[in-house]
This record gives sequence, structure tokens and C-alpha cells, in this order.
Amino acid sequence: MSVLYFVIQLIIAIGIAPFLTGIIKKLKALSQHRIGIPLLQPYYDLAKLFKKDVVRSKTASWIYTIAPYIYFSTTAVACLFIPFFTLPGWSFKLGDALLMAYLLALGRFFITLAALDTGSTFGGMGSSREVMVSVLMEPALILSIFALGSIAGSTGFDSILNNFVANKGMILEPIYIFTFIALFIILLAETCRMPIDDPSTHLELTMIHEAMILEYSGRDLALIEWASSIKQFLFISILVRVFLPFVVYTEFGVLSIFLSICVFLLLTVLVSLIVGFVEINLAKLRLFKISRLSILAFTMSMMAALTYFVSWR
Amino acid sequence: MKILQDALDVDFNDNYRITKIKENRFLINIDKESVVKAYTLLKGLGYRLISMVGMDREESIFYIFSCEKKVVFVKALGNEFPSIAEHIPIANFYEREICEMFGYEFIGSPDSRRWLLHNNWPKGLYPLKKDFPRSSKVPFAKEEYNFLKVEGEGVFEIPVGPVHAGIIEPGHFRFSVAGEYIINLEARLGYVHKGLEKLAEGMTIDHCNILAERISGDESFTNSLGFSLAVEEICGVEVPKRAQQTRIICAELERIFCHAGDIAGLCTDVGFGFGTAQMQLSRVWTQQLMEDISGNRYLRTINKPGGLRREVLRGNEELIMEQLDVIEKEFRDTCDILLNKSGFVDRFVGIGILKNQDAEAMNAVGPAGRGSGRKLDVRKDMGYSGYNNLEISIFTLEKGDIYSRMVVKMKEVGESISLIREVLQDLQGGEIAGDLPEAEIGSFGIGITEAPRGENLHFVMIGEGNIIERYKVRTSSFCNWPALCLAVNGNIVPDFPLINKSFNLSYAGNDL
Repeated sequence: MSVLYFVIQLIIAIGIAPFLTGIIKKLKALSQHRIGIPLLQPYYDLAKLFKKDVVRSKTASWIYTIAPYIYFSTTAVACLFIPFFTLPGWSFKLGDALLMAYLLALGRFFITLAALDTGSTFGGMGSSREVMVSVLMEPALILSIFALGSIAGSTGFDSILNNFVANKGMILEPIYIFTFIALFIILLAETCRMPIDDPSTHLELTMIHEAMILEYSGRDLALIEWASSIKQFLFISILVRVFLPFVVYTEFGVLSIFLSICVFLLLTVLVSLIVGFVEINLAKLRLFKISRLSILAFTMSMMAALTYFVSWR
Repeated sequence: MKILQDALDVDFNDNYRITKIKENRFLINIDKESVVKAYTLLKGLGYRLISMVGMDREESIFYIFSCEKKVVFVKALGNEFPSIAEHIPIANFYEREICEMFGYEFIGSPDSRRWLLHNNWPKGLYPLKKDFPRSSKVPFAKEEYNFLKVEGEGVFEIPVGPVHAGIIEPGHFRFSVAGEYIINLEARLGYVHKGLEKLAEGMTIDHCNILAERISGDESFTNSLGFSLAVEEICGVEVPKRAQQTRIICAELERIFCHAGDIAGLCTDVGFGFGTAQMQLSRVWTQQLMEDISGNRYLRTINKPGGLRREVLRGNEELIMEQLDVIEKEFRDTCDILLNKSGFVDRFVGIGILKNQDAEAMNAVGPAGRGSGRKLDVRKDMGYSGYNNLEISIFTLEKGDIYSRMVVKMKEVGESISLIREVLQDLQGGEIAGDLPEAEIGSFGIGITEAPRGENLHFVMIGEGNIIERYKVRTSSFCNWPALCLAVNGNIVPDFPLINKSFNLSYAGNDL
């Protein structure tokens, strides 16, 4: 049973992730009087990249070769830590949210190393900036997890969720509003979206994430692009599941699973639209002002943690 | 002339000869040894060096100075000159160019590396010499260019280009950085050097006009206008009123579409898609208007020396008025939104500051100069092509950052629109072109125009058989590239594309 559950989770994460990227792109295009790309374009792009040859630098080592695979697999596995759908009475032990955070960090570690590996200028610049952003955002992420975990008594998303489902109406508590803001900023930073990084830029000197993967091509690039959308899907689903934990329950088990998944997917689309909307309205921050945004995220998660200690117990 | 002559008398005794060529055009012949003295003297009188032109038929250099309406050509014979780069840094770039094109030496030059011709060009071959055949096959020299080295702990070099990620022209940038901060930027241009000045030699006047139109895509009209002004000055013809007015309208339309495009570029570079889309709309509407009236989105094949090649305004007056209203509204509204968007404005304030003294040193022109407090606008100063009949206000800002340049451009679009309206309301009938008499052999003239990027200068000398003997173009980009390099220093690497875009210089216009 639990194996089946994980398989479904993986299929959803890997299969749906590029679609959300497409939705955000479409929304941005519409805001500029453009028709924009088809919603399924990210899938076509992946298919195209998989067909293409891979060009690897002769000077690059094995790290460069394996990095896309590690990045993809760690990101995909990290998705298993969040229950995309639950039914009353189910209790899978899914693992700790901290482990999830550091699985993502592992993938990022290898990508930054790989970017340095080829010795190209832009790779080095991208790596240093990416590490700077992640260092700035990490405290906020960990603190948010602690804040949520302290209510639930465990830092696993399953317990956080169960706790939620058990106490309906908590959504308007300050602690959740604070963590929501913090996690939303982290979502923008972790997935390299505006105002931290412009995913559509062609300017190699301003890039963060894109600069790191400039050297990649073909299948390797496809895996990285795909992993990036999975990562985005992962953070969006955290927001959905933690803050909008709707449960659909009917008498038929399969039907309720199906409906739960549908509701979940609709909500992820909703959150993607919010991300897109924020992106439309913001200009990119100066590189050195990203720290201010991370201060905001950190303060929010700090407040959430304090709220817990002040009022919850 | 009186003041000039008096000043020269004091400093030069009898070692000079001043002739008045035309109204407001003076030629001063001096010894090559007294070049520096002449520069200091003219500078003291308020003149600024706008170009240096090398000559081969008679080995000499023309130092061209201007002050409001007046242009002074200082001619010095010889092939070895004292360098004036110490006094005015931009001269170094003119000197480097003359050195590689003619082989003239500059004594005491602070930098004598190659500029436009790359080091693959062999030593001792000077393409603008008359005895250098245009069809020569030139061997590869494979020498290294020595970039300025910045040394110290933690200083790295970032080479960028000549091929960039976006679809833009080629140019190489060598950054010396400590962390994200730029200590020094050296731009290496010349990748699209076409030998345009050599190409022009031997062309007929009409043929060369077509060449001038193709110097740089988005300044097609102004370049053709500049060339025409030079030729008209040589022949001493007055262009019919209607042709002058058409020229003003075309030149201002060109300014509108260039500036709107520049601001769109700034929006793209900060990832603000809304602004990009809106500004591109203004730009494309202007270009469509240009196409509707002339059949060409870059206003080519309209202008010619002596007037216009064809009538473009008749029957289109209404259309232009209507479209201008639409464009103006869209542009104004977008500017309001952009300037009130704090996150957007925040990217530009205090970034990429071009100090006034640097702007003076590099003769930064156009919006780049005006953003740094230089009150320079050739339209007003020279009053060419009937601009003297119009009331033109020059917008200057003191700070010299990206924001200043952007706001200057925004204001100038509004000014251009009202200029076009003013001209349209007072449109004269009559001829559109006059006859061009044959020019005297060896006579020369200069056409200075205010292109969207700033002052463009066309120097033309006519030779035997009414063909071009020497054609020298100095676009605004030539002066503004070195200014850009100064503005970048001290900023961070990710802000470079923004600073670059705020100047939006032409590579083609620099690599002639």
C-alpha cells in the first residue's frame, strides 16, 4: 500500500511540475498582451532537449556528469516528504521536513560544484550567487519548519498536516500567516523566480541559476530544467498542503483519492497563479538587496516561532 | 572671428593663418608643434574638441572644435604630432584610430594600443592611406592585445563576449573584479569594422548618401541628414523650407522610437515585463507610422543631399497627428506607472554614475551627457535644418546615474512629439529639393546632427570629379563607449547590463 502511495506521489510530482511552469509563463505573457507559449510547451521543450546530443566540456570531471542526475533524483525524492493527498485515518510516516530541506541542499551542492567544474566564468559567478542566496534563505526555512513543527510536536509534514486537519480553523492564527509569508518568499528564492532571479533573462552577467547551468546541454540540461520545475512544484505543494489542507472524503476510497488529487492540483495551479502575479508586479531586486528580502523572511519565521512560545502553550 | 584672431595673435605671434571658410566655419593653419597650445587656447575660449580627422593626400590632421554655432578646423601638417590626450582624454581614442589608419605617431601618448583594427591586422599597413588598395588581401598577424591588468589579492578577470547570450552586436568586455565589484572595465570593440571610410572614397555624393544611411540601423535618417548637411555646406546650397521641415519630422520620429526602445530595454533588463511590452508598443507604433508615411520602418531613402528624394508628408499630416496622440498617451501613462514603481526606480537611482568631469573628459554627448549635467544639444546649439526657428528645451539632470539618463530620454520623447506638432502646423509648400552644384576640388564641410544617442559628426571632403575624397564619421557612440567604461567602475557586475542599456550604444556606429 505505502509503495503504491509513493509511486502515485512521484508520478504527480514529476508529471505535473512542468505544467505549473507553463502556467506561470502563460500568465506573464497574457499580462503583456502576448498570446504566449502553449501551456504544454515546457513538456515539448523537455522532449526536444532529451532528443538532442549532449556536449560536455573536456576539462570537466565526473562531478559535472553526475550532477544533473543527483539534482534530479534528490529533488524528486524530496517530493515524497509531502503528502499530496491524505484521507482520514491514514498515517504514513513520511520522514522529517529537515531531511527534505537538506536533500534539496545536496542537489544544489552538486549543481554549484558542477558549475565550478567547467572553469567557465559565468559558472563561477552563478555558483557564488546561488550559494549566497541559499545561505541567506536557509535560516528562514529551518525556522519556519520549527515553527510549524512545534505546534504539531514533530517536524514531519505528515504530523503537521494531521494536526491541521484535526484543528480546523487554525488557518487564521498569526503563526500561520507569518509562516505563510516566510515560506512564500523562500519559494521565490529557492525556485529562482522574481524578484530574486529572472528566469527568462538572456543577460549572462545578471543570472543566478541560469548562469550555473549555461554549460549544460541536451539530456543533462533537460534533467536540470525538469528538476527545477519539480522543486518549484514541491514548494508550491508545501504552501498548498500546509495552508490549504482540504480533504475530500466520500464513501468510495478510490473516488476520494481521485477527488483529493484533483483538489490538490487545482490549488497548486492557484498558488502558481499567485506566484505569476507577484512576478508580473515586481522588478528584479539588486543582487545585494536580496538580503533584505531574506531578512523579511527570517523575521516572519522568527515571529511565528515566538508566537508559538508566547501564546500557544 | 575677431576674438579668435586676437587670442591667436597673443599666443602665436605670426605662426598661424586663420581663414573664414563659411559663415561660422574657420580654418586655422598651425605648426604641428603648437597643437597643444592651440588646444589650450581654444578650450579657454569655450571650444570643445569634437573630432580629429586624419588626411593622407597632404599628410595632416584636422582637429575639429566647436562652440555653439561655430566650428573651427585646426589643421596641422606632418606625420608626427604631440599627443593632447593628457589634456583631453577622449583625444587618445582619436589618436589611436588615426595611428592605426594612417600610421601617424603621437608623441607622449598615454596609450598607443590598437583600437578599432585588431591585433590580427599587421603592423605597417595603413588602410586609409591612399596607396592602400581596397582589394588588398591582408595577412593574419596573430598578435596579442594587452588588456589593462589589475593585480592584487582576490582580483579576477571576467571576459564577456564578443558573442553574447542575447541577439546583440559583438563586443568584448574585460572586467577586473573583486567579488562582485568592478574595479576596471575595458571594452574591446571593432569586431564589426567595415572599412566604411575607405569604402566611401571614390563614391559619388548620392551613392555615399546611401552608405551613410547604413552606418547604424536605428540612426539611418540622422546619419543621412548629417552627410547631407556636410555636402550642402560644401556646395553652399540652402535646402527648401519644406524639405527642412520634413527632415525635422523624420529625425524626431527616429528619436521617439529609439528612446522608447531604450526604455523598453531597461525594463527587460530588470525583468519588468509590463514596462517592456508597453514601451515596445510605443516604439512599434512609431515605426509603423514611419512605415505608413514612407514605406520604410527606418526612414531610409527619403533624404538626399540638397533636399528630399521623395515627398513623404503630403496627405499624411492627419495620420501623423492622430498617431502621435495615441503614442503620446500610451508613452506618458507608461512613464507615470514606471516612475511611480519603487522597486523599478530603485534599480536605477545612484547606479552607474557618470560624473560630470568624466563626461567632459570623454565628451559624452546626447542623453548620456545631458544626464550628467552637460547642457549640450546640437539641435539648439547649431540650429541646423530649421531647428533654429523652433523653441527647443534641453533637459539636463546633474546626477549622471541610470535614472537621470532614463528620465532625460522620457522627457525628450515628449519634447520631440511637441516639436513634430509644431512643425506640422506650420508646414510650408513648395519644392522638396534643390540642385546641387559641382563642388570645388578639395573643399570640405561638416554636418553635425543630434542623433537619438547624441551628436553625430560627418566630415566630407570632395575631390576631383565631384567624388568623395575623404569621409569621416564620428558617431555619438565613439565618445560614449569610453564614457560608459568610466561609469561602470565601482558598480557590481549584475548591474553592468543595466548601465550598458542606459547608454544603449551602437557597435556598428563605433566600428566604422
